[in-house]
Amino acid sequence: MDRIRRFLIRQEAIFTTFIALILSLVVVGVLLASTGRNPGEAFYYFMRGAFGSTFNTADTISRVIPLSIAGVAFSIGAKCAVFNVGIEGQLLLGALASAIVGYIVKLPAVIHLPLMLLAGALAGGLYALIPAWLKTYRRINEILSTIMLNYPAFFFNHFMVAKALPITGVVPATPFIEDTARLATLIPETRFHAGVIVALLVSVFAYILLQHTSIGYEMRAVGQNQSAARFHGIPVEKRMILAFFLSGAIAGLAGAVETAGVHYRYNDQFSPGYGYDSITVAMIGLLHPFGVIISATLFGALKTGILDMSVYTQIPRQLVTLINGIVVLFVAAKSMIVSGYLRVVKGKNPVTHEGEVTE
Amino acid sequence: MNLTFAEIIKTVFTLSLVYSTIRISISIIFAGMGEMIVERSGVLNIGIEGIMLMGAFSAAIGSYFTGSPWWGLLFAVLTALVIGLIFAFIAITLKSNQAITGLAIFLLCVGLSGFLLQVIFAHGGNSPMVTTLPIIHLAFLEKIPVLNEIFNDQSVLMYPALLLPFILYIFFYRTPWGTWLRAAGENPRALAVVGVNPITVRYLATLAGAFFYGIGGAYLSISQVSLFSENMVAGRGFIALAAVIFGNVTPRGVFLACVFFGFMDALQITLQTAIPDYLIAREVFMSMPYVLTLLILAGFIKRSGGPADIGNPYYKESR
Amino acid sequence: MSKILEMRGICRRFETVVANDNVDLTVEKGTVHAIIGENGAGKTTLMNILYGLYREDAGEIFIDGQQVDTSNPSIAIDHGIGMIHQHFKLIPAMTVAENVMLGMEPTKGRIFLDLKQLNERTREISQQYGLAVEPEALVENISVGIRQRVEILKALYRRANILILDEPTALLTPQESEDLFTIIRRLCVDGKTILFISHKLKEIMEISDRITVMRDGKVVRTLNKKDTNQVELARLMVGRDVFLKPAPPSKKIGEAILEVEALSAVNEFHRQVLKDVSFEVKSGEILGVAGVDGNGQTELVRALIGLQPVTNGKISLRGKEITRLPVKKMRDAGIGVVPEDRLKEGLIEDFDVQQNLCLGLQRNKPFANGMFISWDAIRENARQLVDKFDIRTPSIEHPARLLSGGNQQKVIVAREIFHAPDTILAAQPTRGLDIAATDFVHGELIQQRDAGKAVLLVSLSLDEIMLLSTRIAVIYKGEIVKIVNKDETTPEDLGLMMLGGTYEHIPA
Repeated sequence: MDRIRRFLIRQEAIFTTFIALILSLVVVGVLLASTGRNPGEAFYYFMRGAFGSTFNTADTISRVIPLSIAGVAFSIGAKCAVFNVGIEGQLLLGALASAIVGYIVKLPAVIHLPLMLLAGALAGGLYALIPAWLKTYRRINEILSTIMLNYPAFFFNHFMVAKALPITGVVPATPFIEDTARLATLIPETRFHAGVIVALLVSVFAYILLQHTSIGYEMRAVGQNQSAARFHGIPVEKRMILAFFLSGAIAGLAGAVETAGVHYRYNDQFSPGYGYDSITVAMIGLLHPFGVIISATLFGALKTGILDMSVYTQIPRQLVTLINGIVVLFVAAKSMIVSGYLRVVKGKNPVTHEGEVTE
Repeated sequence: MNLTFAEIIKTVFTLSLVYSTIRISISIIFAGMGEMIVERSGVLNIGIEGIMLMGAFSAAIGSYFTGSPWWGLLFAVLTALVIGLIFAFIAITLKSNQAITGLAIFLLCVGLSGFLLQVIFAHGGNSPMVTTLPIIHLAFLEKIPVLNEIFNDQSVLMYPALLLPFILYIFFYRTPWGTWLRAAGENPRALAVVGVNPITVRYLATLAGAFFYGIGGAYLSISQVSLFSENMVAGRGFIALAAVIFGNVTPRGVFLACVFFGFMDALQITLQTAIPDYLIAREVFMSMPYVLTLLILAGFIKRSGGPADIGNPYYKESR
Repeated sequence: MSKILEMRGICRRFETVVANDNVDLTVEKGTVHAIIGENGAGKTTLMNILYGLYREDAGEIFIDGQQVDTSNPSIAIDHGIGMIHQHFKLIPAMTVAENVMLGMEPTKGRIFLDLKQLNERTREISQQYGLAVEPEALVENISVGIRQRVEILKALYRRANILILDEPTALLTPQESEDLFTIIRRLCVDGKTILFISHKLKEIMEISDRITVMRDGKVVRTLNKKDTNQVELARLMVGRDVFLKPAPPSKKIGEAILEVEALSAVNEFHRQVLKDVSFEVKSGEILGVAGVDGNGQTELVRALIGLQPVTNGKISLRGKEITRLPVKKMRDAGIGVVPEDRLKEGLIEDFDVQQNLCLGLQRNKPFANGMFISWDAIRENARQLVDKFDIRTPSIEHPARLLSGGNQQKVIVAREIFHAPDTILAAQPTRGLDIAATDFVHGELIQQRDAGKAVLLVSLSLDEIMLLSTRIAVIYKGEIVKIVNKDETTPEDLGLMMLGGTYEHIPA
């Protein structure tokens, strides 16, 4: 009994997040019911839409890929106390940069593909250095600066495809990228592409960085307790700037992967809002590179399942964004859930320490 | 098409620009004034953008279904107050990180507005056209040259927007409650030891802020244009945040900062038409407000004069 | 003379410690009643209970014979109690008048502030009590002494009859203190009663009528000023049964390892926090730094690890200068630090025990292997330390946040001691620990001393200093008053020096 209790306490984060998710679903269910829809039916169609056939599952996975990568992008920043809400903008720039590199030259695939992915990552990373500087040298809150910078990024991209680059087609877009720059489709006739490998590699990279390198240790320390980190000689500002860069670069990479695996070019209607979704995905995944994969799968399923669901029931697709919002809210209010949880599990006031004496 | 610099200046800097400035600033002024009240009490609400969005949405809905924009306005305010209350509860009572909570509120509102838009109108993107708030035409102004071009035929909400800084100035510096509000933001313990509860003050301030965000958002959908479209707030909430910082959290400063940002917005629209696209792309101008905001903020290294205790939750038992 | 205040049987505990243990206090009207005691004696807790900021667990309060339940400051204020805290509760950005009348501002028509009245009434009351202030001045522009007057006026405006002054002269210059005493005497003539909380024996002897000495939450004695003297008070305050064993004398004292010369530092408000501090710590000895909180100890420790900018002076370790090096380099040079604030500086709460046990060393071998961390090394290190130092934790993966205070401190001590080659700075190492944990920490420090390390011990507890130190340095207002051998001094002497008392008679 005691061991179970200790386990529950140690994994408090996972369980309370789970509870937050359940609570959100309850709220959503209530909302649906109150607008006259049937939650149970909705759920059935949702599951069918997400995993009902090979095509559907592949579709789900194709959505999971950018969500996972972008989720890792946010997580790496957040682990170091950097809240990069500019994922959207960095992702867009990355997509465009990679598309350009994809069509402008033709090189052997072994070079071309990594090169265009790299271009995407660099674009995102460099763009993220702007809010990095603003935060460390001008103390400007990065939530403000990164959100603000999303708009110019969007406008820039629009300018590029609509005016600067050769126009192809009704919706402004870059020309298609060369074959050598594309990520192979792994299951024919579906959207399941080799980007899934990239997503896995990104998570592995993030994991190794954070858990198995000194720099990662220091970044995590800065994220948890800046004073203590500084006290022990950790260069706080340098680590934050690194976190910004990596976060932006991975976001850019997410955009590049979407370009290379799904669209094969950058077009004006590129982003389905992965930027803000990535925050939710990251928070539910507890900012852990592998947790993010699981969380991204849930979300990817959500997005795909919703399509079928909205066709067969009267429930609009925007439900996803709503769920997004509610979940984040519950996660933000987690402290309430946490203290309740600890009280139940520990059986008493959760803040007592033996041997502790206060003034 | 050889436009000289002088000609461009002449087409751009007209009274019409001033008119547009005021027109566009109204929404930002309400938001900025609201956030100023909130920050003065020691709370930081990053969710402005979200609450404005829901305000815009509710106003459009209200106006659409009742045919009267005034009901829409009321509905917007009520919605904003409810969301503001949720934020206040999580940030003040639960003492959660105010930045994250604000972000959560923002995401919630984006989701909620998009979802409800679909549910109610069965198609995303925009609501149908709705009845707007009246434009005020003052006959006596017709005779006054400059003022006529600037202030006549503006939305009815312009009047409260212009009065707000004065009212708030008096409130902050000439009433006891204004003093308590400022005290809550500077040193809540000082307030506690004289028997005034800083938590109550912060709650009320947050709700007051939400009230104004709601109006600011409503203005967008039932006055500046006449419908609701997704993401129509387009960062104005965050610009209002920047205006509060830039204006040093004072009524006069924030008002001027909001007008300045409104001016930049009006300017970029005017420049788009005045300067042909091949010379300078429109997108440059559209990015201007955001980039300039950050540049201006970057020019301010220290926040001088802002409340000392901002962003910190108030813990009762600490000395 | 009538009893204006009586507190009977006041008890208050926080978690496991008893801050007030059956405290009785009787105060006569029109007197200055001093309450003295060391840090942690319970004086401020008692006053906070009286003023309604805390609730007592047991006991009664009688004001002017009537029982009162002070559950919040408003009630206390209604009954004529005013408190002037050590850390002023003023709003610097507002004027004197606004501060004095905060919460009770005069209004015109209940909506608008009557600024004229605000300033005039402030002026009136200031003249009435002889506390000269400028009503329209901003508090941030006036001196500390005048700020204090504003605080007093605040209380008087609310018709306080009992004024609690908590360490009122802590931030005052000698002249300002004199002015304060004049004010206090005048207030007593007017029939006000003063509760004066302080450490400073000299002042107590000057201003008070009756003195209550507290120790460990209990009242030791209440006596009349004229029946006692500084020496007796110091003894009452400080002397206690010693539970802990004094350290055996140093085995072998070698050369100086840590040398500090003429160290000076200024804080962000341009106040001099360290002035010409010089001392050395030799191998095999413990140098204890004794002093009342706020006299520069914190800044000294921070300067020694590189977190406090230094304006002048030199810090050397084994002859090599390390002043102004970045923090990591200073630590790598051979300093281990047990910080004052274990949760804020010593540990990362959300990290587990094993990761905390290598904090600061994550780039050194054996923990680092090039870029990578060796979890094997971390685990092994953790196991060893947990074993050697008997750290009570369910596992090395347990989050540090969930350990008891004592065990958290053990983690810090274990880590710093085990890896610090030469010098150990221990700042309040046993703060908030129970007897067993305290004993453990003391044992470790002594062991390190005997292993030839140089140990600098900064502590607010004179007991601890006396138990462990080989030599003792007293710090007062940022300066080292004197450095003596432990055997050549007594707690009373040290107490006097720490408290600004006269010490000319103590041999150099």
